Amino acid sequence: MADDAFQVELSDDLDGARLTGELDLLVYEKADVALSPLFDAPGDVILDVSGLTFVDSSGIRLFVRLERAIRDRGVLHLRGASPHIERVFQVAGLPDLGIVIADGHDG
Amino acid sequence: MAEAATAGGTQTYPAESDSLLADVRRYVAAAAEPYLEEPSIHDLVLAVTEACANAIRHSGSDEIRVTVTAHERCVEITVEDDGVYRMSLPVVDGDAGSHRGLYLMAAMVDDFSVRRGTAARTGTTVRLLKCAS
Repeated sequence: MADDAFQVELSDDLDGARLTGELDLLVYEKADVALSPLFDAPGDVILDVSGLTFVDSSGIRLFVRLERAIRDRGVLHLRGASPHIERVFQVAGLPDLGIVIADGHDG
Repeated sequence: MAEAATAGGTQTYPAESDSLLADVRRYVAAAAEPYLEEPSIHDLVLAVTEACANAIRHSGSDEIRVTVTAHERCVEITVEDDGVYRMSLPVVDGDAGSHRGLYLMAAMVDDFSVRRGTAARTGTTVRLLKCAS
């Protein structure tokens, strides 16, 4: 469905992005390319995931890789996750890696 | 299994399709909707996505078949391919091979089983069961 097509909108300062749609294995490469500037971010990276309607282990893998890339310089924040998406983040153990998960009220 | 009402039957998807995972999600969500509520439907849809993604990545199968069956308060999904199940140990501190998908799949359902396709007997079947809470 077109409404759920995965999209990335990078922030002007290249310190974050807004993700929308469904993030799964079949859009992993597209997501990886779109987010690649953030791997060199000088500090914290903030991803607005409030428009993300689905995420699978491919998406988790991408966030883990991004966190590893910026770990020495900053913290990865995932903001505005829906209850479903936040649960996937929790089950996958992202908070244990130091990734900060904040719900929609904090975003 | 006795008294199994078919909820949606079997859908066949070409493994090369760019929309395979999204198509499977629509199909499973619609077929499960009369029997389960949220967040159970999302859990099942995620588990099925992981099972199909594994088949796409590893089986070499040309097609993937998804069957939805309802058993009163539970929905059972089978994901079948015609390939060989490739299992690898996670690489320490690895990335793609860390089995996150298998773990997520298992965490999202009430029960699951894997009948692994081998060179002598090809065809992997993953069975997933999700029940109303």
